[in-house]
Amino acid sequence: MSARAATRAGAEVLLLDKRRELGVPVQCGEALAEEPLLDLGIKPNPRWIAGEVNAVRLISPSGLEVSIAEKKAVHGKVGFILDRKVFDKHLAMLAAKEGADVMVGTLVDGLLMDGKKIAGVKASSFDGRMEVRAKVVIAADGVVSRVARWAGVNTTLKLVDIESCAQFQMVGIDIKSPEVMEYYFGSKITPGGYAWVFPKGRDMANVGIGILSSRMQRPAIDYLKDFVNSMPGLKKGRVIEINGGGVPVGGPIPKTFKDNLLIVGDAARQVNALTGGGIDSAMRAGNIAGEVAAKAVASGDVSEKKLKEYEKRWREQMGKRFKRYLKAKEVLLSMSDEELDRLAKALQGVEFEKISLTDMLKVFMKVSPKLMWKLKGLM
Amino acid sequence: MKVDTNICIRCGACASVCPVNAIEVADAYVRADKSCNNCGICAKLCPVGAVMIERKL
Repeated sequence: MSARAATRAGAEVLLLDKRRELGVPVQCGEALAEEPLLDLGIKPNPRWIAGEVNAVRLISPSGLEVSIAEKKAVHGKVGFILDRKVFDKHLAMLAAKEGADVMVGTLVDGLLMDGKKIAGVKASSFDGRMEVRAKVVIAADGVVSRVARWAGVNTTLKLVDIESCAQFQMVGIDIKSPEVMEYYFGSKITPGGYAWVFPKGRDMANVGIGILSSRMQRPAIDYLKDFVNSMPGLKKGRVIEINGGGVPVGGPIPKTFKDNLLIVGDAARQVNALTGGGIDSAMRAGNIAGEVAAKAVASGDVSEKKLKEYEKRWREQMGKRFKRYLKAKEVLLSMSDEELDRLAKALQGVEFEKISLTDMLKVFMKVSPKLMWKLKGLM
Repeated sequence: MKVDTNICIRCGACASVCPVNAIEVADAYVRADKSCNNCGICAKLCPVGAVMIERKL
């Protein structure tokens, strides 16, 4: 996204990616709302849409279901389950079509420095080692986030701030409703996280699990196997792909810019701490970063004074939401299975589109005054 | 740290928590450089249990 935006804004851009095939390996649940695509001028394309969803079903530890239909449904669709293998290539193609240079299979393994100033990156590829000089480096190196650390920005995660995730792409399973995303909660299934079933049609889905790393007793994939085996509709299916990854859920890093450097996406921990979703925010922030970087280069001033516009803009757009999600995540993490069940019970039959905030709070009050106290500041 | 390449999915979760930024996650491999002190944090969160830590006896 940065590459597309920066090229559009007139900059000369080189997009480096260590992957020989963009989008591989898949490292997420692949769910994305329609809204960011429309906002960023990307036309939804059936080539990279594997499923369309418009509702969410939450399943409590004892199996109580709470269904939420999206209010903002436009033409009955509000979200997609992507095929990231095609989607990521599509995004690179959009950048290339604008005129960005793209090099895949190229691992950035160090920063190029002019004294204390960042002057580009060192990389290795099929063509051997190379040095690329750049006025601005945009670090979009994902959860690994080494570029920022080489530049002296601490992006190291603590185990309490990262979910360890494993996912199977499964076929031959029973999907009750292909338009509903399912989230399963409970300390037995998934300590400090949730399991998900994101449909890609009637008999295929991304089935995954995210566990707070500090609460893990075994590798996430073992919890996932247990989850699949506990669900008859899934157990009979076949795994055609194994994915995994770490999802930063501790909120964004405090500062995402520096002289000659911007940090975007997972590298900047721009992730919804509650859901672990980060495609939306990474795309939006990436777009802003590209625009700001191009503007700075054109102005001849690529100091942090100029580049801080990036942080200002993304925080305006998403900062508040990130804080609210982080708080909500903390509340969720503090809830026992019993509390989750009580909450699910109280929410039975609630029509989320019609309920007012006050009524919602009354529901929470009924469940637990303690919970209500925790939710203070969230609403 | 040592990585079982048959199991590793190259997601890079290990690198994100490495306190000494020792882990390189390439497209085809994951490995730690000399600064790795076998602290074991990466092994704790590896989603697939591919990381092994060498402990000196």
